[in-house]
Amino acid sequence: MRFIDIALKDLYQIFKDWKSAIFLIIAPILFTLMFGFMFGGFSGPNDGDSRLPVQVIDYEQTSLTESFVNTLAGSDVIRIEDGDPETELDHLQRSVADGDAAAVLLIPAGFSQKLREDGTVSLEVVLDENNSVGLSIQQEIQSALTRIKTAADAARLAVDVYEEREGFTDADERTAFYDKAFEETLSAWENPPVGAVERQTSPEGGEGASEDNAFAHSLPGMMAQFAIAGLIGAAEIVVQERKSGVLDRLRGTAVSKSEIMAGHWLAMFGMIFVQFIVLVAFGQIFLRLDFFGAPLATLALSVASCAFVASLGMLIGILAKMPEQTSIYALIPMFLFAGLGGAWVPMDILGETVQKVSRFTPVAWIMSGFKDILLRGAGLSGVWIPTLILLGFSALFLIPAVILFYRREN
Amino acid sequence: MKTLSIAIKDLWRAFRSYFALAFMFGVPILMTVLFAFLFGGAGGDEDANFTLPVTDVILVNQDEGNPYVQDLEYGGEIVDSLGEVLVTILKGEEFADIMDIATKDSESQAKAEVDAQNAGLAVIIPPDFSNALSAQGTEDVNIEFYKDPDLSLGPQIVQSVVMGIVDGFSSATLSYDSIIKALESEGVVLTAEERMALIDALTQVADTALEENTADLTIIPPADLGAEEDQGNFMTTLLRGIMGGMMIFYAFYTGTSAAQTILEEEENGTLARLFISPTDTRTILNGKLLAGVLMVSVQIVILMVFSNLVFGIHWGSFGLLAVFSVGLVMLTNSFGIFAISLAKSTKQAGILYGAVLTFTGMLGISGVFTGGTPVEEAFRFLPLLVPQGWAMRTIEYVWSANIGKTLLFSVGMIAWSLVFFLIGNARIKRRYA
Repeated sequence: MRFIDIALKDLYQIFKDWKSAIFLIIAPILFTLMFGFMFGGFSGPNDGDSRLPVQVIDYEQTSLTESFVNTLAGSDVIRIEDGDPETELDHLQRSVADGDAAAVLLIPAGFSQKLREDGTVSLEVVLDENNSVGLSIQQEIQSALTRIKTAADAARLAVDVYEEREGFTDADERTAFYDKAFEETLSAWENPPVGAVERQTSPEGGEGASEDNAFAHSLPGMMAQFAIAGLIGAAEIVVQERKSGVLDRLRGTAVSKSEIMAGHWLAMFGMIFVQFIVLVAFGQIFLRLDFFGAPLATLALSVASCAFVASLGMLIGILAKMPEQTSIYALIPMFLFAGLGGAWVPMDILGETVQKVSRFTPVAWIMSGFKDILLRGAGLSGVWIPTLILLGFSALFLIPAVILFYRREN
Repeated sequence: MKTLSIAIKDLWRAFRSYFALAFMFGVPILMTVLFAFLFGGAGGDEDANFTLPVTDVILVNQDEGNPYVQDLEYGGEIVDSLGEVLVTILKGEEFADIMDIATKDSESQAKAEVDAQNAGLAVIIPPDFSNALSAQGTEDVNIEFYKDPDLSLGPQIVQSVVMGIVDGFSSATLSYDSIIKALESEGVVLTAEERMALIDALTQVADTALEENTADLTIIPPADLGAEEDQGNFMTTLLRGIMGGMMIFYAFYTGTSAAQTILEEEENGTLARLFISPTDTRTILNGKLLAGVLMVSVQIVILMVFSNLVFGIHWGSFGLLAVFSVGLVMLTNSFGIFAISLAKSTKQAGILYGAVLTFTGMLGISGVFTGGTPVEEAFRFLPLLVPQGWAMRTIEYVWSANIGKTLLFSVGMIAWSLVFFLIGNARIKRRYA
């Protein structure tokens, strides 16, 4: 049982400094909130306006262009902001480059005339096509353009029919009728014949309304990332023990090498496990994440995750020659595994190659397992694959650590 | 001269340390390559463009059709419903880049595939689809999009495409109804023949719209006047953002690391020896500060030159870049002095490295992680709560050649620097007085 004494000593060393708690608990919570907040974690369906800001510069300002802007304003994706027609194009381009606006839509003078005469519409928009924001806005404007084009075509046909049947007394009457038919068609788009309804896989095992919880992504990601980051201090204890000669003294006692290894591993495991418990409870209580809906699955996955991180910590502690090296040895796998494992951004927006490579990183399996629990309601039977793979990763890091430790001590 | 000697000694030590070199150059470059790999794919192709994810989509066509849309010819095939037309369009080559289509007979089978993560999205075309589009239905008809909650962008794009096509189908019905209403409001009631003629005319308009692009949207790229070579070059722009963020992130480590030598010397006892030599405290601190200034300067210059030569990154106009660099050097070193003034030992300083710098750094350069994805509006401003955010914002304005804002935010960086320096310097002087 001497390995438990070593583990308790290590844990005392780690937790006696309150600043460790900042790193182990507060930092992942702050990052979870930060990333969750970034992707709308606090926004309910009726909270605030998180639509993308699009500046519209209407160089014409007629009833037709107003109708078009109103159509855009009804979008779920973009939020319309009035722009100043006096602004130069390069300033507008710069405002998009600087992120002050997601896009700037330019409605040229003569827009209505072209629309009335030949039904063509031509607009310019300043946006970045190389990202999803730009693409979403482009899609939305294109969709509004299609609708306004439809309305213009319908109005022209209505005018033709009316002219043939009744005839207009003057151009004003013709224009008024055109506008009426145009408005009629445009407003009809508010209730199209076929709409869309979104649903998604839900934790209850059935389908649910599509409601994203951004924290279901950010919390598992930050749990994994900061578990690895927490190794900086824990692995340093192993290095300090060796550097200060305490290890030699221990070796001079009846404590065996395996007990020393087991003690340090257990301390790291315990430290990360405490971190996981606190973060899981935080997610359950404050972030509406249902970890406790599948307690055994959560426990199994947490244990396997902590085992992997503890083994990695052992390897770092044994590889590092100086205490400062533990920082870099921990930060590199942290960034590498977290980045490739999808802890920062959802995997589906990353490249196909990255998605394949990520399967070889433990963080991807931690993420996958916890997301199965949180988003799909997976139980123990649903997370056994990630659990086993994480235990495999644990062995993968622990075995070289043990070999190196024994070789060095012999 | 003593100041210079102390600085050279610290520089010599730093540049002989693999650990310091790794943090100054190795990790930022590694991170840039990693992020480039993450966001740009494996190839790192200079001409690569942003590519949308391909979503596995399962279509379930439950459309029962109606007598008005039977035996239609579409794409060389005879179809019996508009649902079939929709399926045929979606299976076309045009959409192969964004969706991989499979079909299933039942809704439950399709949803089971999504639940099992074998597909990202199931699109259920309802039985009344043709009826609704032929103005025969009375109830609300919806296409159901059943998605994998793990996916973010792909299903959204597919839904947008599908609804765009459905809008095209809807337009004829909507237009017909609207025209009839507009005419009737003026007391004009069409005969059956006139109605048929109107339907023909609407069909013709729809066909013309498909053949000719009469709704033209011209895309103007956002300005990037400081680096016109990068216009439209997705990979280089991406790498520049990442390298800029990483440079700022790790420059703060270097600044703090340089200041940390004060604590190291104190713990090693060499600081006490320096104090008993005819060297005053100010000279020692100035030497440490000079070392930090030189280290961060070397780091900035090497990272910029390296990334220019290797990745082809264009950093913007030299003048603005110089202003930014001066601000960054001041900010990182004054932050280092401030941070170290709060720590009593190198162990505590280690916590600063790990926790404070990591958190503030990631918040400050959070735009690098979220670039191009929709984020909350507040996240435009939250990074400005930390000094790294000011540095990041400044270099972004350098890239867009925004002279006014570059200068404004550089002044902000200098203001942060002064605050950090005054507090840090006072605390350290008090400690070693």
